Amino acid sequence: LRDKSVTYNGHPMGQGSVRLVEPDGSVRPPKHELAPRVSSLVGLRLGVLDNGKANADVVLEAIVGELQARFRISEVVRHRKTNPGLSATEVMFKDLEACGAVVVGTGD
Amino acid sequence: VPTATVCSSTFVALGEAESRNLGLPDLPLTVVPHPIGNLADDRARDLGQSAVPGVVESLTTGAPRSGQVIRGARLDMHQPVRLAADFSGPVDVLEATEIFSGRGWGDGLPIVPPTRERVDRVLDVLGRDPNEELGPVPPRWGVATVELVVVNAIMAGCPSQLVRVVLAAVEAVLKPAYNLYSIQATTGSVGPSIIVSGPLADELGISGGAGCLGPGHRANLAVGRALRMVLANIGGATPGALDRATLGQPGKIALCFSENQADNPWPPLHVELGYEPEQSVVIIDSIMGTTDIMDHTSNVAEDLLHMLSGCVGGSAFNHTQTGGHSVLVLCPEHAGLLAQAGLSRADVARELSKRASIEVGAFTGRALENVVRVRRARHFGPGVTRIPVFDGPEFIRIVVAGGAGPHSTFLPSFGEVTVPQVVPIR
Repeated sequence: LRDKSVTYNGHPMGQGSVRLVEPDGSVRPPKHELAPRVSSLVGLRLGVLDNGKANADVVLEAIVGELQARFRISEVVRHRKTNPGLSATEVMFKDLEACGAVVVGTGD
Repeated sequence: VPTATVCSSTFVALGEAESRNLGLPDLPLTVVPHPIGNLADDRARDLGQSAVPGVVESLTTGAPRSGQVIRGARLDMHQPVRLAADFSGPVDVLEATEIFSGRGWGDGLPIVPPTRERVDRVLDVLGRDPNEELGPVPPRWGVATVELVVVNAIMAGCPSQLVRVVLAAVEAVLKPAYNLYSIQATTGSVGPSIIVSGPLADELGISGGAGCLGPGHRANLAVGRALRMVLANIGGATPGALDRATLGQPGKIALCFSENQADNPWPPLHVELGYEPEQSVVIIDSIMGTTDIMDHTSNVAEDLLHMLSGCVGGSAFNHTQTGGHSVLVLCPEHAGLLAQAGLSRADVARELSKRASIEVGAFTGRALENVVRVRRARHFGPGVTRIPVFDGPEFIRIVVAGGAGPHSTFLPSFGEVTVPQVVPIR
């Protein structure tokens, strides 16, 4: 515990000061490794996870169309969450893990 | 698998905080301008195409930087991690409020300074291990401990005996099925509501009487505010930062009440939920706001049911589009009229579930295609012209509260993404 007095707005708090307890607690991020990036998208099997928000499908299809045109994508695996507020299902994750790269969206 | 995350601009702060606090601080985010959902198709396609360089850069090594990709979470909404969470400072209420709000803590109202002495005193009364962990609170994922909940409850003005209720409420919102992440980070106005049912409600002064959803009830406000303080300080749900609510609602400041035990014509809520009469529980729903229902003309149950079922749905409510558990707070006069006709609480829910419906034509084609037909698929079939507002009687919680007068209140659900929780108060 830190127990030293502080000055606030120029008022020396000195020895008579009180200790306040901070309310936010610690964050303990787990340690994950970012997956290695690929050297090229040519010939890749591409996964797409649509978060289910309005227009997410249109935006992602535009991205996929462009990537297909530029990189000869071998196959596209598409999943759409039925509900943006819930996590993707195990089945979806399993399918997407078998892809060379995945495009997802967040926000609305 | 290398992943490209396309993030709309208003969610960048949330995206950065999530990637940092969930352990992938270098996750590349390709930023596109918000909003997306209301764009015409051709503009949405243009926006998708504009994201392609960022997507390619996110997935590959050695690609040129496009300027739209953020690599490495830069945002620091809160101070760095401090395990020894004490510091010295002023004790005056306004000075303490000032110093805390300067660090992003609090709810905008003056706080009671959580001095070491106050915290220790409450911990002594509770007799629980201060280091006991209740779990990480999204979307900041700060770890809530008994001591931290005490600190936040003191800030909200809770005397020690109310902290037991706050601890139960925190335990409830951290249950995975409650899906607090979605509630905290959405653009919707949702917040948790706390209903205290059981003998402790009266003992602790939690009101279910006149005006119990509004101002003037110290225990109601202190408990509701304490939960908000936990969600804001430990969970990091600061409006406009990680809390993405478009507007929010006053119920997010504090929303806690009990049943009106004296004027409730039915067995107490917790007993109907299967708990012993002497047990007290907190019941946590997730609600979008409060809507007054005025009916001072119905003098038979049939008329009142007709009036109630006509005002609990609408084309653009979350619960009508997606389902979920809503709360109907019946005033004692309305509840009495229904009970006199021989209806139980379950009967009322069943009647409302049967009667409340909405025309399919009330929804636009885009709403039907994108949301309603997907999320409430079970109600659609050949020739269907109306769908029920509720997915069944179990999706309507009937509560009796309030004072004299013919006003009930509807608390509409956030939707089916969240499941209400009941937790006994220790």
